[in-house]
Amino acid sequence: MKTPRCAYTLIECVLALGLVGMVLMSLLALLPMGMSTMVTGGRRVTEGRILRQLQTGCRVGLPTEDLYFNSEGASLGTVTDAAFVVRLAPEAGVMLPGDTVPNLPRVKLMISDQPRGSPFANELHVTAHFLLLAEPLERKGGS
Amino acid sequence: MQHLVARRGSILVAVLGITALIMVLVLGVLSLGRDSTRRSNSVADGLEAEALAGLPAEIIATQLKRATTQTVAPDGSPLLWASQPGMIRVFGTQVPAGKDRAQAEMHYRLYSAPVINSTTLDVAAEAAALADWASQPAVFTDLNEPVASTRSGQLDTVYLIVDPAATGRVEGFALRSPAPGADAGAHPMPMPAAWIYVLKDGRLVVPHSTSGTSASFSPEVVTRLNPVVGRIAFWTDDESCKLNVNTASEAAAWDVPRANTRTERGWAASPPSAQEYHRMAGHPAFTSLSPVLRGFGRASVLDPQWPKPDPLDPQDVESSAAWLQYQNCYQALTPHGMVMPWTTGSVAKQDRHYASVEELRLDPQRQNNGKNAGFLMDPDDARLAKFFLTTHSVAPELNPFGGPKIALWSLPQDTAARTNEDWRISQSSAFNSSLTTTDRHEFAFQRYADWTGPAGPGSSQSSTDDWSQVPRNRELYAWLQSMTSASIPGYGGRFVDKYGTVSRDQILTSMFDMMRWSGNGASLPPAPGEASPQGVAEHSALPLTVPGHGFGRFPTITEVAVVFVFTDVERMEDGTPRDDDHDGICDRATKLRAFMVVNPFVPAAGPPAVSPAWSLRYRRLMHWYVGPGITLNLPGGSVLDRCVLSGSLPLNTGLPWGGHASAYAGFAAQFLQADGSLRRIGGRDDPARDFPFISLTDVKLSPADGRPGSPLAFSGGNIIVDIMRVDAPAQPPRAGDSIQSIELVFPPAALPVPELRVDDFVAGPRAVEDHFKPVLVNGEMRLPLIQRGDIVRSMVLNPDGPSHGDVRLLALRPELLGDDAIGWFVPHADYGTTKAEAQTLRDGAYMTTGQYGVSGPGGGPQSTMHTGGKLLPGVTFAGNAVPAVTSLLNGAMQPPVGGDAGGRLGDWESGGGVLEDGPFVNRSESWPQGAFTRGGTALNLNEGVSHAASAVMFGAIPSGGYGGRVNASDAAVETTPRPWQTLLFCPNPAGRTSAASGPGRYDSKARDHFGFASPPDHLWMEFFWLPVTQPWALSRGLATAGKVNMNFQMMPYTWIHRATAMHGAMKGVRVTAISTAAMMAGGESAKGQEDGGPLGATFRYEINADKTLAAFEERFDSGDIFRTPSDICEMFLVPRRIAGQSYEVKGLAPPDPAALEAKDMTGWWNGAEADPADAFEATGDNLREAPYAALQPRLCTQSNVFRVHYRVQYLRKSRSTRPEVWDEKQDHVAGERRGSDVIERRYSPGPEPVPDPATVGGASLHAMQEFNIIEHFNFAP
Repeated sequence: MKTPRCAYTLIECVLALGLVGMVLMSLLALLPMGMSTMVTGGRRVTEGRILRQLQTGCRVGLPTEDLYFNSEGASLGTVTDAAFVVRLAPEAGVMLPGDTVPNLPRVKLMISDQPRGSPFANELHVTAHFLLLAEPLERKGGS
Repeated sequence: MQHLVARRGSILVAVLGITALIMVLVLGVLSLGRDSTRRSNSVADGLEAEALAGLPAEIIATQLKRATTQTVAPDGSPLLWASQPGMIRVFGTQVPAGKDRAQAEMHYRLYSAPVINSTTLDVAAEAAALADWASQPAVFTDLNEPVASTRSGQLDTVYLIVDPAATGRVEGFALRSPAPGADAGAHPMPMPAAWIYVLKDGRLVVPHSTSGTSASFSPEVVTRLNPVVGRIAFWTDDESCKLNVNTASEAAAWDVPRANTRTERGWAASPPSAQEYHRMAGHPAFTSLSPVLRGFGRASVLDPQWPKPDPLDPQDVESSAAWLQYQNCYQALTPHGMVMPWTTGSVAKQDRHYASVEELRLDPQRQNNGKNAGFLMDPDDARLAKFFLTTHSVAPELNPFGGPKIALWSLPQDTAARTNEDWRISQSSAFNSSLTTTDRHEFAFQRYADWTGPAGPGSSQSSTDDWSQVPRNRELYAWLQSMTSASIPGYGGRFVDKYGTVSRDQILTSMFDMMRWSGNGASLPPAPGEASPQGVAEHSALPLTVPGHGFGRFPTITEVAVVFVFTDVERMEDGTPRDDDHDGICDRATKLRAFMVVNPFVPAAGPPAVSPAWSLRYRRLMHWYVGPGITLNLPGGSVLDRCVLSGSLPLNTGLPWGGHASAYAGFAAQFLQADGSLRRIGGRDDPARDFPFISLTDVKLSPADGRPGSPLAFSGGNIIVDIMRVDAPAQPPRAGDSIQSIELVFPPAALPVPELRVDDFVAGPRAVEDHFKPVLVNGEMRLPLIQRGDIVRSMVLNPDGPSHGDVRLLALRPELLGDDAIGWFVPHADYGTTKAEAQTLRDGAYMTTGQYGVSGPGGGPQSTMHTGGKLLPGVTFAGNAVPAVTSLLNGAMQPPVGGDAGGRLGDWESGGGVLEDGPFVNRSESWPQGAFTRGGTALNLNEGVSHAASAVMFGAIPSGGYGGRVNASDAAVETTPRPWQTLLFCPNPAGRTSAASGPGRYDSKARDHFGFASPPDHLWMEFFWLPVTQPWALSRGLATAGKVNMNFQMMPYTWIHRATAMHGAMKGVRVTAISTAAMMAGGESAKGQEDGGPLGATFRYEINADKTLAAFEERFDSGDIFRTPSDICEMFLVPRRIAGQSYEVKGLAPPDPAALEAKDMTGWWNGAEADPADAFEATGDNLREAPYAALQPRLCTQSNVFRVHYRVQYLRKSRSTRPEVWDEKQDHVAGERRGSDVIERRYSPGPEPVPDPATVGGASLHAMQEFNIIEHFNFAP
């Protein structure tokens, strides 16, 4: 008499695959969110660096052209190798407390992580910041 | 079976295992991501906070720009700004009712507050608003909150702004009252400031309500989409309120001699060398660092390593080890200090400038700085000192209208003739200095030509060239006219309204004229020497005659005398004098000769001695008679009837003549040639060699005349005295050919024929020439001009006439002819009597030994006491201090005019050293040794001491020469001259009676001095400056480094008193006060002991800075600040006796001011109004104003450098709280930064040439400024 062969039953396989699937699905579902959080954190750091640079740079003059930066926040001359593009636009000034006239010039900085094509078309890739700078804010060409 | 059973289900175990593994891996990845994200967020929060940290500086830069570059009000009137720690105030020209000057129109706060800018300010309310800061953490924060640090290896408490431990160690620093919300023990010095919240879109908001730990905002502004993302608080310090370690050093008091004391003589003997800037009162190096540094280093306050500057007699200074050590401490620390010891010759350091206060600890070799001088500073000290020291402080040098100031330095117009110093001054005071000469505009008066040799006397010897040949001078003059015709911002009122056009122009001309010869005196003819063998016109200058009339260093006259010399008598047949009654007296005089004498008076007196070159002409003398038809045979003013007077006299007669530092200079030049040889008496061919003003021949008297005691009818009559140039054209007199013409009316008189001694005529007729031959008498060279038997009649300056004895008013009038001349001169009091001598002729060569004539004791010369009058009514000065005023004057009092009752003590100048007091105009004394000799003539200066660092040098210029407006509301200017009234640059003129607790007045309530009337006189100073060009270009870009801001009030922290820098500025300044008792008749006086030796006492006082600055605080508390540096002239400097010095003269010591405050100063200086001799009335106007000359050039009210202390926080709102509410307990501070940024304001005109304000006008230069952040400091102890 032949000894019955040992094997996984269909039920077992289904259960196992079900469990693996469920766990993996739920875990993998978390991964993009985690990765996104990491990317966001990194982006915030880079944007902070860009912001700090421009805060100083804009005192000399307000650039008229888009500015490019790599993923570390270093300024680049062209879009090649760029990870971020920044566009500056003067906004209505800000009033100091108690004032009735806006005397503090304000600049809107739009930072996009899609430097090519139409970088500021997709709002999901654009963050806005505001800089307050002492007068005068004169446009003095590119970076 | 058992085996089967055992394996069944194992797949699940395997799967679960793998699953768990995957889960671990995935969770690990997620965990890493979360940590990374957290770190990223932390970094990003920090970066956001950093970005916020830049915001306070941006806000302050905007504030500075708004406050300081908007220089014109909407109505077109000019604006003036003044800075202080925490605030800039902008003033207009409108004077509110009940106020004496314009009020601030806008207050720009330089600290975070719910309202940043406002038109009004309540100082007390500003501080009160911070009272509850500690209980409102969502509204206020403490910028000075201490932080614990272990960086030094021990637990330290570190402060961002000010460490309370400085209290008691630093002079001028204290808590005026406990700070609100302070923990007196742990943290007594909080500096609360309001939080300003930053929204996501950049807008700035402040809470509109607060409750406990939360603050609420307008829900329309602060929303979930636009939440608060940060908050900032800041306060801005003014770096000019700190002592600059790169420019200040330690003052060593020095001044030109003001009296004859050992101290004064010591100073005169050791004037500052070219590089001893710490001894030059106008230089920033004269500001002392000791108020701060004395409290630091290894030495404590009580450590003898840092002795208090002792009041050592300067004569002993070089042998004073303590003094040397003291100075060494500071000089070794300062980049350009003098390396000691002085005994072996001091050498100026040329070290690098400090970049930070911390650097003060180390020298370039990174060794302890000043280790050789006993100074050791540790890091804690450096931190503590930062609130009081700076390495970079700069103040603008612009006038109230925002134009450049005019340099107190005259430049050669010929650029090839300029010295290096000329160029340095030019560079500092010129516009567009880097551009072509076409666009380059200098703001300094120019000299047309310098002295080059006897043949090239330069434009100082022309009365027109510096005006007519120098277009730039005319432009600057016109510019000054336009500015003084405009309402002055910060004050209101116009100078032209106050003085009237004529007097205003007279003041301007006097200033311009003075600049020609005092700002850079090297251009004048030098003293006799190799360069000028004959010594013609040394250190003199002709007055300008266009526009108006200046003083020059040139004489006018105070007296004109005619001397009648009886040359022969009736004789017997044998030729002996007839003396029938044998009484030794000749029976009758038969002949006489008359000659003329003038008494020159140089208002610009003082060292260096002056020998002006001029010529003299009399007109109409031919009309004088002594009896019917008996003419005096005097010349009538023909072409050659002139006499040239010049030179140091006499050079070749063995002894110098002297007296040329006195106002009565050049008397003998009438009778002696420039080389000292005798003139040809009666010659009329050569004005340089002849003396023509003598009867051409003997005048024969009528036979009925000449008997002793009988009257001789002198006709008298009008004559005109012309004071002319040396090279005046040889032509008949014509209008305008003289510099000054004065008409005098000698009244007819019955001259008493004297008793002529037979002995004097035995040898024959008397030779009148004997009167003009110098003789040596007791070591003095003398001219026996008036001898026994002579009759003298003179006209003297009238103390009751228009000048009231103030000869300055006479000097500035080109013509006094006809009706204009009435009253200026009067006959001598004895003119109509039987006295032989009716004269008060006076020569500066003599004082205690008498003057001319034989009416003195024992038939000697007339006592000087009889030739001078009184400066104080009823007060006779000592015999060695007889004032240089007309003998009839009984008090230099300002007379009534218009609605002004007058009757107050007037302005006059104390003579330096042994020189007498009087109505002088010169304050640019150099060669101080010259103040102690009457025997010398001008000497070549081997050291120049410029005393013209401040426009206080103009303080002796008459301000009412042609009248002024008595009341501001008067429609017309009262044209009556106002004698004894000069420009006022101090709060304590002798005529002041109103209390020192208030401002000096000239209104319906009190008439202390015309100078107090609006606009105050001291504003004249704001049009001038002296650029500081050594040891490096401290003055550049229309600004000067190292000035100290008088506005030390810290807004809003008015409970903190930080006047340390003012202490440093005042440390080396001395107040000079000479009591009237010290000048009154008796043996010695302030002019020295009876034998001429110096006094052991002193008249110098230190400034009691604490008491003086208490009055500053009162001004601040009243809501006012100083608008211009010349405002210092409104503040009393409370004196303090110098320890170890005696103040006793003649056994009397003046009142000790130790117990007095600033409010008591009027009484201390001027005593009771009715008593002119009970206080310091004998202190001349120049001495009263001198301390302000030492202070004003080093002070400022505007700053170019500001330090913004900030605290910023990056905020994260909790999702559970309402967006328009910030709650300290529920919301989250994600990041914080503290630190400070330094903002510099700098003149930046741009590439285009700036239009010349003097000719084109244009915008205020305050508008041409750029603002840069030049330093970031992150507070991370």
